[in-house]
Formats: sequence, structure tokens, C-alpha cells
Amino acid sequence: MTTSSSLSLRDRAVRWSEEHASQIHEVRRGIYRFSRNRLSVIGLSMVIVLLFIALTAPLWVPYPDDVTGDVHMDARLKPPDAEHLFGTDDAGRDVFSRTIMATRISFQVGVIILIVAISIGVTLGAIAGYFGGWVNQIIMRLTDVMLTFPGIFLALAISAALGRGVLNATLALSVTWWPGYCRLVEAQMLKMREEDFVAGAHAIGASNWRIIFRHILPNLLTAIIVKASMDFGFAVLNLAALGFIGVGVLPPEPDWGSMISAGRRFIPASWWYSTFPGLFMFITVLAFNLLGDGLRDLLDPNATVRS
Amino acid sequence: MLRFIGRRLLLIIPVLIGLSLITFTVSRIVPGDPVKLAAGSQARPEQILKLQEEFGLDRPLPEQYLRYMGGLLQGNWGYSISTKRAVGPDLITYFTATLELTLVSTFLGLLIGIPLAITSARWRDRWPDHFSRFISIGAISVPVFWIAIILQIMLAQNLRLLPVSGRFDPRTTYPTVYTGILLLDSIIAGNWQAFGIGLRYILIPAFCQSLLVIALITRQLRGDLLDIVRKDFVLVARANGIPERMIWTRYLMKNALIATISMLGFLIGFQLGGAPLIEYVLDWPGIGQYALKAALQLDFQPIMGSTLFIGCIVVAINLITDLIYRLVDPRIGFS
Amino acid sequence: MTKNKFDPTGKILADFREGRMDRRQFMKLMAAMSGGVAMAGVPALAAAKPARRYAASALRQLEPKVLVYGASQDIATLDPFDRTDYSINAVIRQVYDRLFRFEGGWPQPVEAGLVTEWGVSDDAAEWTFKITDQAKFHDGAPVTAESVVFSYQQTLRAQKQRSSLLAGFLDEAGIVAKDSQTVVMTLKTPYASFDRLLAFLEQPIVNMELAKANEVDGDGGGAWLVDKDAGSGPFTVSNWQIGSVYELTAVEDYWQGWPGESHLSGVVWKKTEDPGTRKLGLLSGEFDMSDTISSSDIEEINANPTTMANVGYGLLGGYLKYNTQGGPTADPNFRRFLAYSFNRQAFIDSQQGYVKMMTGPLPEGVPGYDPNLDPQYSYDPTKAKEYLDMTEYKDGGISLDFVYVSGLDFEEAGGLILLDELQKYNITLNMVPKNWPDIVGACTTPESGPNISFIFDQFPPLPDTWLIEKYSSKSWDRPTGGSFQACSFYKNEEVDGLLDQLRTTTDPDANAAMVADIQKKISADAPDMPLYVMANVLGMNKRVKGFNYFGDISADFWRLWIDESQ
Repeated sequence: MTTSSSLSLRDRAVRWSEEHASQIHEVRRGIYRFSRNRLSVIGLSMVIVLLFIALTAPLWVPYPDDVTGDVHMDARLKPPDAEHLFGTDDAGRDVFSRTIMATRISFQVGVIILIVAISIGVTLGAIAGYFGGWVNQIIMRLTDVMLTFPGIFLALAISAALGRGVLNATLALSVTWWPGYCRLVEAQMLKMREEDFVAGAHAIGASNWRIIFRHILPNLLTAIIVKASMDFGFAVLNLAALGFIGVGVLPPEPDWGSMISAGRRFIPASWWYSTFPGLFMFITVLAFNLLGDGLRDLLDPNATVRS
Repeated sequence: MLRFIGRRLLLIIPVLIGLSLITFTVSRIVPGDPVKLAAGSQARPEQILKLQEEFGLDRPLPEQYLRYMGGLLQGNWGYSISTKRAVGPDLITYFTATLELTLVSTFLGLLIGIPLAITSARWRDRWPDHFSRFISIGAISVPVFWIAIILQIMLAQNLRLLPVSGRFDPRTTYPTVYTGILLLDSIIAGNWQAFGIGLRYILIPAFCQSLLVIALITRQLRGDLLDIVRKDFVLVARANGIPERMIWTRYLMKNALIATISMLGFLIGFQLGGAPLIEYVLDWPGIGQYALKAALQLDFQPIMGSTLFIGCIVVAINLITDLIYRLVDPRIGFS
Repeated sequence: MTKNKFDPTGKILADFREGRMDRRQFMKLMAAMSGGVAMAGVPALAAAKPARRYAASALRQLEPKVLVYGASQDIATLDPFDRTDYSINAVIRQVYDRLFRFEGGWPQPVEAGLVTEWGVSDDAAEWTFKITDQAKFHDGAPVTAESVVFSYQQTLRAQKQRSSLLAGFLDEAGIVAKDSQTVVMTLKTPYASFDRLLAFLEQPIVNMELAKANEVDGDGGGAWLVDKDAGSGPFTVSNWQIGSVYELTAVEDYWQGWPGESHLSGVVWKKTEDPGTRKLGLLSGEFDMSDTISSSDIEEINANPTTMANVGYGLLGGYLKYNTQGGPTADPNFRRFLAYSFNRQAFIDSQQGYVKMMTGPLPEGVPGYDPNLDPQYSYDPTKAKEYLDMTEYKDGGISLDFVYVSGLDFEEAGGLILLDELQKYNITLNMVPKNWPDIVGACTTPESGPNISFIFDQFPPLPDTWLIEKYSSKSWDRPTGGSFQACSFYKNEEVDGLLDQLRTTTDPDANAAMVADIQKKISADAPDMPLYVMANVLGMNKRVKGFNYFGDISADFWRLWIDESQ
């Protein structure tokens, strides 16, 4: 038998696709079903556009200095025109540039929040579900406590205590988010650990950790992804809410919530200041929610709705 | 059933204790010093000490916690440094305002959400479905504080149709308080003018709050309806020639509503957590606003009080909903 | 299960459970519910609109002279021994009388209130005040010297915020009622301007009998007075629910009469924290007055035919304070560089021109204010570079913290302007918004003090108070730590020596010369950068008459009336 290193790349690809034939077929079917759902497709396209915007923003934003600290007090509160698509704010900065960069920052923070929340939540949930007993009780009671808090409250309290700043806001929000994942994973884990393949792995001497991470968790991946895609929009929304209250991003960095809040003083005369960031935020969250909804219909085995 | 309730209550206690511990820790990591602020800039050392003593802030932290919890169980919810009033009575007053807002917004949400869900399920995958789903997802994607501002601009400022903020007209005498729920109090007193005024003031906040309800109810109900539609007894009914409309109203609605009730409980509990943002933007004197301001002032006793209060309410609502759920559906017992 | 025959809920529930509810019943239920609500709601809504107009006009007919005041703050307490916020003082000023008034314009001439005449001994230590016999408390009892003595003593005893300044000059034992209409105050530190200090402190005179009758734990009635009134002023508390309703009613036969052509019959204080809502309330006519209007709204209010905005400059001065004890700001040349780097025109633009720029440590309106103070700092990048080159930071590469109150847009604007400029010198300015309690806490020691902070100071129009509280090392180098006013942690032995002598130098010319000298020395050292005096913008409906700015955020309701023809 030839060893894998002596196979050519092409042969390796062919072999891989044969081994995973059923999975590839599944994915294809999934893509087909997904594309049937009009709303989800719209969501996906919007998300792709937004991601592109967020990634490339620093390259093409018209007034990059307005984002890093320049002020032009003599050009305050100008209405939208050819030079300033969304007008200027109360420090003369271009609202369009700041809105786009705020998108970028929100995405970065959103991803970090989810990564941290998922890391903590999945780990704790796996431990709780797998080991059971008093470990489970402690972790799940803690999760219950955290879930009793209306989300924004906890984040606000932590942010207010720690002080303003994007790092503190991220920390506060991550702390608010992990319980959801913990619960999800724990419930699934409880079911999974009774499965045959787990017993088999035990029998050949695999350690507990290996079983959890290499065998069980990959099966939960779809559920986690579905939840994460639904959560992303809300994470971004909550970050903006914190910014609105005044405990989010520090000036001069732009943030949707802070801009809407600052713009309130100037409505209705300078309506653009609050309106455009909010509109953009709405579109972003909508895009992710549409996508997430579509993914959920597609992937979640517990979903009650089939299209 | 009583045993069921008892068992659930027992489980709640550690949750509430955990809640109080977390809130206490968070609110005491505070780097700033609310006492210094209350004492004032030119405060002398004796004044600061006096205030610290008054609020028990000179004791070690664990003792502070125990004293606070002890006081709580005796009915003393503490004293707020920033408002200079007791926390307890304020919590009740503000809570009734939030309760009123929640009830009206839930009602609005159901009014709009249920028809949307039915439309969505009935004409699945055709344009009414897409439209309803778009509305549903849109409702939950809208930044609530932003839409409140937009409505303020459009309805209140430009068109002068509705008031900008607040709960009641400053020039009219506030109706006598029986329950704390303005609309109810007006009805009890037969004060229709006050009722109308209250209604106008509650409209924008309730609508903003109802968006969440609409979104969740539409999705949930649609899902449940579609599930039930596939069941056998529907097939039988159709085969027997029962008209579609009758199937929908008689068989499906009843079953679907059961699940909606449990979701409703969650929703009300969630909304009762106060909508700090809506209340803040539209100046609705509810518990969300109270807690928000306390958090921004780092005022620990109102923060503790609000959090625990809301926690208790949420837990209570969940319990009640669960009970109703089991009472209404004979298939589910009290395990 | 024999139940009451008429048990609709039970029946419905039973039907529901057993699947007996058919379409008709279900429809009926739904229809009944929505019908019920519609029946209640629709006519109420319809009635509400015209009814509201009717209510407004009816109220105008019945109570056309009630002023609705949109305020940025709540009134947490009416305890006359614990007065902190402007809102509390605005109302206490109406409900209680004081020894002196000064609301007759700006800058604050002192008028007699309860005092008919007063005198001082030669050494400025013993002050005698004669109290009028015309004044009556709201319960009919006459205002006597006893109540005056009680009011001042109780304030000192309560040791709340307002007592600090007084306690520096007076002990309880030093306040004595010589007879029923005469009060003698013996100061422990002689002070020539004591009467002006008293005028500024605005101590309300409390009905001693009433307060003591409701005393708890020796608090002098303070707890009871949180929402009650024991005063003799032109208004009484008529409907007071803390957190929701604040209504004052005029005392028709007020002993001092009414200064205007007519007077208000009542005041409704409407707490509206959101500035946008406050402005909208004014524009729509819901409020007759709205305070703390943002400078960006002034044009809009003036453009509106029924409203106008009054802009007054009091004594609220904004300073960029530099930490003179640590960091780059410990170097006086670096501080001068900062002072020359601030683009003042940009700041004026950001506030729409509604600022009064300051020339030195004392704002206009405080005796000793010098419009031509030398040195004075302006925006001068050339001079700035000169001074920067004299420091070790001429190539930049450092970062400074700019601490300000979170949410205050004018402070944020100041920071952003400085940030923009400092970028050119490769210096990073970190914007650090904080809660006010945090800032107060940070200003206690030089180690915790911020590099630069944007803080507003306000004192009585007494130059010694301004200079001592802000620039004397005794104001921060003490066991209890510093205050936010002394957040520059300034220590100059020469200046300290002069400040120590300031209050006891009774000769007015010598005193003025000292003040001038001290100001020059301070300005040269630049422990802070005086920026501007903040405008008090009060929006009002044009039908409100009699307004005269007296240096405060709110208005003196006693002097106002409503012109019903408008």
C-alpha cells in the first residue's frame, strides 16, 4: 500500500472526495435548499457585501482622518451633499466615513465577543454535561443565575463598574453571552454521552478530554454555528446599546450607538447625524439575522420549520 | 401541584442568592466613590465618615453583604445615595409603570403578531409568508433606541400627533393612584380624559417595546402552526371535507396557542426586566430607567435592589407561566 | 361540581381543555376582547384629542397663571439643611425666605430679604442683623430671630454639603439671638465680606417650632422636611410626590408682596432629563420654560415665534487643569506649551459662539477680574513650539490622559480639539470619559490625579474663595485629600504665603493689589488653563414676563408672571 506522502495531490483530492462523498452530497443539498429560501439568500448577499465593506474600509473611506481624531469645528453639522454623503457631525467630521468605520469596529468586537463567549460557554457546558453530578449542578445553577439577568443589565452594570472603553464593553458582553452556549452544549452533551461511539472510545482507552473535544463536540458544531449566526446581530446591537448609554467605545473612535446618542441633541434640524448610523446598523443586523434564520432552518435538527 | 410549586421554589433560592452575590460583587468593584460625591467637594473628614457610617460602607465587604441581605428579608431594601430616597417604595412605583408598559406592548404585539403568524403559516412560502417573515426579522433587528428616536422625530415633532415623551400631561391633574397602573386607575375612577391622555403617551413606548413581541410571537406561532398542520388528525379532517378555514380556527389555533402562552410568559418576564433604553429615550418612569441611572451613578443599593427585584419577578413569571401551561394542557402533568 | 351557575371563566377554561371550543365561540371570544378594548380605547383616544385641547384651554381658564417648568434635574429633597443641586435650590428659594436676596440682576447686587439693616464691628468679627417683623411663616407664626439662629445652627449641625463654607467662619455658639428681631454672629475668623458670603449661601430660614415638632433623632426636622415646607416664602408646596409630581402654589398675601405687574399662581416643576425632550416641550407649548438648553438649540428656539432663549453668563468657569505634581505636566514649560496649543476659535465654533472666554483664574463678575491680565494665553502654535522645545518632550512620543465627565459634549469637544492639535507634535491624547464620582475620587491625590482634566468651578463672587480653594496647597495637601477644584495640585510657597494673608487683609486697596499680584503669578505658572464661562441658557415662552437673569441656571419664580393676552 502506498503511503499518503507518495500520492500526488490530485490523487489525494480524489481520494478525499470519495471518502467524504456522503458529506459532500449533504452540503450540496444544503446549498440547494438554502438557495430556495429567498430571504436567506438576500441575507447572505447583504452579509457578504457588508463583510467586504468592513474589511476594505480603511482603503477607500473618503475622510480617514476624521476617524482618528481630526476635527473641523468650522464645518459642523453640514447636511448631506456631494462632499459628505451623510453630512457632518458636531465636530465637523464626515458621518459617512465614521459610519463605515463603525461597521468595521462592530464586526471586530462582535467576533471577539462570540469567540470568547463560545470558548467559555462550550467548555463549561461540555464539562457540565459530560461529568454530571455536582459539577453539573454548580455550573448549571450559575448559568441559570446569569440567564435570569436581562442581558443588557448585566453588561451595563459591568461596563459602568469597569469604566468606558471598548475592551471593557467586550468583556461585559462576553460575560453576558456565554450562558446561552453553555446551556446548549450541556443539553446536547447529556444526550450524546449515552451514544455507542462514546462507549466505544472509552473501551479503547481514550481519555475523557479527547472524547469530549475530538468526538462529541464536532457533532455539536452545526448547532453552535447556527446559534452564533443568530447571536452576531444581537451582539452588535448590544454593543451599540452600550455605546448609546455612554459606556462603550471611547472617542474619537466611531461607534453607532455613540453617534446616535450624540446626534439626539441636534434633531430634527440635523437629522442625518442620528438617522444614518442607525439605518446602517439596522441593515447590518437585519442581514445577519436573515442569514442566521436561513441557516437555522437549514441546519438545526430541532427546527420545527422546514421549507 | 403544591409539591411541584414547592420544589420549584426550592430551586429558585440558590439562583436568587447567586444573583445577589454577582450583583453585589459587580457593584462594589466600583473604583469611584459615591460617598465622596454625596458628601460634596468641600466635605470635611467628619462629614465623609458620617456618610460612610450611614451607608454602612466602612464595614468589611462580607459584612456589608450580609447586612444588606438581612435588611432585605426584613423588608428594608436600602437607601439610594443618588436620589436620597428609600429604594423599596421607589421600586414599586417605577415597577408599576413598567408593568403597564409591558401589558400594553404585549397586547399590541399579539394584536399584530398573531394575524401575521397565521398569514405566514397559511400561505407558506408565498409572498405573504415572505412579507411576514421579513417583518418579523426586521422587528427584532431594529435597534430599539434608534426607532424610538425616529418615531419621536416623525410623530411627535413633525406631525405633533403624539407627545414626545413622559407618561402624562404636566398641566392636567394626575388621576388618583389605586393600582399604580395609570390606565386602570383612570377606568376605576371613570376619568376618561385621563385615560385618553395616558393612552396617547403610552403609544410610542409600547409600540417600540412590542417589536420584540411581534418578532418572537410570529416566529413561534408560525412554527407551531406548521408543525401541527402536518399531524395526522389534520389529514383526517381534510379527508373528511372539513373546510380549510374551520381546520385553522378550530383545530390549529387552540393547540398552537398553548405554546404561545408559554412564550408569552417568557416575553412578559423579559419585558418586565425593564426596557432601560426605551424608558430612557422616551422618559418613561419605569424600573429600567431607575436601574440604568443607578448603574451610571454607581449607586449600589438601588442596583442591588432593582436586580433582585427584577430577578424575582422574572422567576415568578416563569413559574406562573409554567403552571398555567400545565393547567391548560391536560397531557402535561406535574412531574 | 356544582358551581355558581354563572361562571364564564370556568366554563371557557373547561371548554378549552376538552376541545369543545368551536370556531364560533373562539371568534366570539376574540371579538369580545378586541371589542372591549376598542370600545374603551377609541372614544377615549378621540375624546383625548379635543379633550386635551379643552383641558389645556380649561386649565388656562381656571389656572392660566401656572408656569410649567421643564427642568434637567429632579428635586430629591426639600431638606433645607441639605441643599445640593440647582433644582433643589430653585424651589427652596421660593418656599423659604433668606436674610438677603440678590436676584435683581447681574452681577448680583445684594438686596435685603428678611434683614432690614445690618452692621459689622471694626475688626470684621462681629456681625449684627436686624430681622423684619412683617414676615410670617405659612402656618401664621411670625418669623423671629430664634428661627434664624435655629436655621443656621441646624445647618452646621447637620454637616451636609452646604455647611462647609460656613463652618470655616462660624461655630454654632457664635450665632446668638439678642432679642426677638436681632441676630448677632461672631466669627471665629474675621472676614470683611461675610455679608456677601451669607447672601450667596442663601440659607433658608426655617420655622423652628414646626421643624422641631417633627424632629427625629435630633435632625432638626430634616427628614420630615424632605417633602414638606416650613417656610415663609412666596410659594407653598401644594402637591409633592418625589419622583413624579412637584407643584407649588402662590401665597397670595405674601408679606413682601410681588415685584411684577402680576404674579404666578403656581409652578409645576417637570423633571425632563433629556435635553431634546426639554426643548421639544418648550417648542410645543407643553412647557413655559425649559432650562439647560444646549447652545445648538438657541437658534431654533429663537426662530420659533412663541419662544425665545435667554443666554446669561454666571460664574461657572471651565478650566483645563494640569497635574503639576507628576507626569509631563509637572514641567511649567510643558504646561505653557499646552496652554498655547489650544485652538480657542475652534472651541467657540463648537459652542456656536455662546461662550465667554476667560482671561485668567477669575471670571468676570468676581471682583478682581482682570481683562488684561498678563500673561494671557491664546492659540499660538509658534509660541507653543518654543515652549515645547524647552522641555524633554520636544519629539513627542508620549501620551496624556484627558479626563472629563462622560456625556458632557462640550467637554468632549474641548478634548477632541486638543487631541487634533497634539497629533501634530506626535503626542497622543487619550480621551478618558469618567463618571463625576470617579473624577472627584481621582482628584484626591496627585498620584491618582489625571494629567489633564476638564472641570468646572463655581464659587461665590469673592476672589479669596476662588484663589484659595483652587490654588492653595492647603486645599489638597491635607489628610482628607484634595477636592476637584484643586485638581491641579498646585504648590507655590510664595503664592501660598500671599493666600494665607488674603482673608485677613481688610484694607480694600491692599486686598485688591494682593489679588492682582496673586493672579499674575498663577497665570505665569499655568497650573491650569482657564477656558470659558459656560452660558446658562433658559428657554421661555414669550408670554412669560419679568425674567431677569441673576446668575443661576433657573429663574426666580417670585418675579415672573404670565401675560394672558398671548
